[in-house]
This record gives sequence, C-alpha cells and structure tokens, in this order.
Amino acid sequence: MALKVDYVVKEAVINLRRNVTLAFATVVTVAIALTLVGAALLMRQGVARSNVQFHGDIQAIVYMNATATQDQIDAVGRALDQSPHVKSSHYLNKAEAYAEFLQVFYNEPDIQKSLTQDDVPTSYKLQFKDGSGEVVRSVEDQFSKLPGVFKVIAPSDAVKKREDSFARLTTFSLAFAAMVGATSLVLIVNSIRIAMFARRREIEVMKLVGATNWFIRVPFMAEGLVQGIFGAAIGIGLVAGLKAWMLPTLVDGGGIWTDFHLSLSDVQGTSYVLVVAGALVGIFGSAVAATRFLDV
Amino acid sequence: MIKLENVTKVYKGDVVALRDANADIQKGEFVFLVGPSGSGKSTMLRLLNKEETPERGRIFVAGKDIGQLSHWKVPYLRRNIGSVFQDFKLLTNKNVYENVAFALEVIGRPKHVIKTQVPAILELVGLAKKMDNLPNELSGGEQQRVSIARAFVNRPLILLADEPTGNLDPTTSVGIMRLLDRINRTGTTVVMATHDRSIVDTMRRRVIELDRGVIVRDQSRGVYE
Repeated sequence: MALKVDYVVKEAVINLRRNVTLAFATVVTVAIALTLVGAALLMRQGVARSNVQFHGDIQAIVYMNATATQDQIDAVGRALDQSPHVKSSHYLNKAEAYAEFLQVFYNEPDIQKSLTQDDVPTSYKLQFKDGSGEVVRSVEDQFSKLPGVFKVIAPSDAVKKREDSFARLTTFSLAFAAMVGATSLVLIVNSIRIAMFARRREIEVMKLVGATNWFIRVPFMAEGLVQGIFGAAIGIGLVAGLKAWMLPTLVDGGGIWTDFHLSLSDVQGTSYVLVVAGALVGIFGSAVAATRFLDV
Repeated sequence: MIKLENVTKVYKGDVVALRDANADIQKGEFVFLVGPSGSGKSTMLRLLNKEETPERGRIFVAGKDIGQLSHWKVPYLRRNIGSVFQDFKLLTNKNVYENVAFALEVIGRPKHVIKTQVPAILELVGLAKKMDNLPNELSGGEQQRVSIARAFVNRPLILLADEPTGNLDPTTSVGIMRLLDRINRTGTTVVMATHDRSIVDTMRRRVIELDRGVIVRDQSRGVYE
C-alpha cells in the first residue's frame, strides 16, 4: 500500500498548526540542546587545533636551525639520550615537521606558502621523567647552547591550564546537552501524544476501517521529524552566531581563548551532525509516542 | 463465513463476558444478537474484528482462524468487515462526502476510485443531496446512514452493527433497517446487536440470544423473546 507523500505532509502540517505552542516549546528545547552539543564539538575541535604541537603530553620541544648539519642533529640526539631528566625523545624530520607546520597555520595560507619543506626546522619532542619547572629550565639552558639548536620551548603553565579548562567546558556543555536533550525527547513524545489524543476519533475510525499502523503513524513521525529538524536549524544558527559574534570577543579578551581557531568548514561539519541528531531525536521520540498510543 | 468454537472471553477482574460460545454463521445471513445489557453482545462483535482476543476457543472469519493472525495483518481483516455503532463515530470536522471518502483514503485507494464510489454509496443510502453537509447539520437517522455508507463503501463481506438504532426513534429505525436489509441482499453477512424488540419481531431473521455471556438460544426466523 502506497503511503502518499502529499497525505503525510498535509496531516503533519495540520498537527503542527493545531498544536503551535507545544511545537514551539519543543523546537526551542531541541535547539538549545543541539546548540550545546554543537558548542562542545567545536570547542573540542578548536582546542585540538591550537595546541597541536604539544599533543600527547609533550613537555618540551628542541627546535634545530633549518641549516643545522646532520652531525649537529645527531649530537643533540645523543645528548638527549644521555640526559638524566629526559624520559623519551622523538625526532621530527623535515617531512613530519612540515606537515605539523601546515596544521598549525591551517587557516593562514599566506604563512603556509611562505615556507617550503626545506625551510622548516626539524625538532626533538621531549618527555621528562620529572617535569618540574626547575628540570625544564635546566634542560632549556643546557640544550639551547648546543650548536645547531635554534631554541628550546616548553609549554607554559597557561597552555596546560587551558587544555584543562577546555576539557571541563566541553564536559560541562555535553552533560548539560544530555539533560536538555533528554528534556527535548520527552517534549517530542508529549507533543506527539497530544497530537494523537486530539485526533483520537480519527485514529479510532482509521483502525476500524483497516488502516495499517504505519499509515497512522507516519504523519506523526513526520511531525516529530519536522520539529527535530527545525530545532537543528535554529541550533545551527545559534552556533554560527556564537562563532561569528561571540568568539572574536572571547579571543580578544585573551585568557584561555587566545589562539582559538575555528574555520567555517568546522561549523559546517558540526551542522551536519546537528541536523542528523535533530532528525533522529524527532523520529525516535515520535515513533515511541505513536507506537505506545496505537497499542493501547 | 463466521464460526465460533468454544469461545470464552474474560475481562479484568474475572468478569466473564462470553462463556463457551459456539455459533456458525453462513455467508449472506442476517443475524440478530439479543440479550440484556452486559450479556456479551458487544464483546462478541468486538471479538469478530479482533478488537478483543478470546482467552479460549477459536474464531474463524472468512475461513481464517483470526487467533493465528499476526498483528500487522489485522488491518487487512478489518477491510473485509464494516462496523456501525450506536453513536455513529463520524468525524465532526469533515462533511458527509469526506467522512465516507476517509475510509477509502486511509486504506490507500486511488483518488479516481474514491471519486466514483463515494457518490454511488451516498446515492444508495439516500444522502446524495447532503454530501457537503457536516454531521451536526444532519438528523440522527441521516448520520447513521453516513456511518453505514462508510462501513459499506469498501464492499466488505461482513457488516457488524452494534445497536445501530439505539439512538433513533422507531420510524427512523425502520428506515435504517430497510437499508441494512438491502445491504444484506447484496450478499453481505450482517450481524447486528440490538435491544429493539419490534425490529427483531418484524424482520424474523436468525436470533442468537445471550444471557450473562452464555448463548441461551439460537433460532432461525426467531423473535425477540
């Protein structure tokens, strides 16, 4: 039996119009939940982007001169192996260093173009046995004097704090999103139940004359889908708004937001996630509501 | 067409609505179910289109054991069974035409079929001129005609009527009975639960009498008591 599209659309629109206030509340709640999800995802991406050099607990980096000879490079490597403070070191060759350079300046094509692979300094990434400030400073002093070394940098405490802060922010907004998300699911279930209750006479007649459960259910699922997608659309708007208006202010203000980068394609990628999430919440919530109502 | 074998239906709280009922109804028969309120007439009708399921026994409709019917096939069973009720169950926001067309729309009949069948059935029940009226603009008898048109528009094999004249005056009831009789003459099996003594006594059709869930009489060309 064919389920006609125009029938489904017509019925879903009737339901939504009959129940505008609850539909509005549902859509707004979905939007808030998805905005939080979107913000969390983008924070994660942004912070991963900005700290790429120090991922994986790297505690210091010894940058070589781009012109350093192989002997000089090997000498530094040997010294690192002998150093009592260094737990492990990893050499980043030209190709790897260039790849990382491109990643760090991913959104600044002018800088990317200014260097070729040969111009990029190679480096050693270090992990210390004991990463206290004194040890880091003594290693810094020792190695910056070696021939061929350009400079030694260690992530400041600020960078560490920053990673922690973002981790907390992300967790917080995801937890909050889960709560609001659960609320929005309940609201969708409720709004579909009310829509079905308002049409219980019609549903009774439909069952009596032999309409299939799917035939009865699908328009209500379409209604839930519309609510989910509308919520997602508003959520995407809010996330884009946050990026466009809030983020520059935050970055200007400095603190943990210094160097926080997000590109348009990040927002785009996140928006697909939000649309899918909104659609799933809508379909799932309405299917649950419709199934429970039809079985009674 | 319809066969009940030792059918027992118990509602919550050990209320026995039907006890060990046996009946065999042939195609094209017209059967009255009589008995006091709560004797099991409505339950019997509800069992036939699987709105209820029996605790024990088997029910055959059109040769099929409907106890074996899977959940998703029930709608297809109901397409062969028209139902008429005391309270009409019309949709108040739809006009006469739409009420009847609705029954065909929701089982996916194509538009051109609906456009020819609905006016034809409304002609049959004598409401061709009131197609555009809303149910609350009609008399009780007219509303029941609409509901019969809706039940019959898909040409079901069986028509179940649960006190269809219960809300109507005697004169109007006669009109409704003429209509049901006419439908019966097209070969449709009609099972009608009723309290209306004069109708049963006038029509002289098969009568199945129920008392506290037990079939106490099954008589062809019977009377009310």
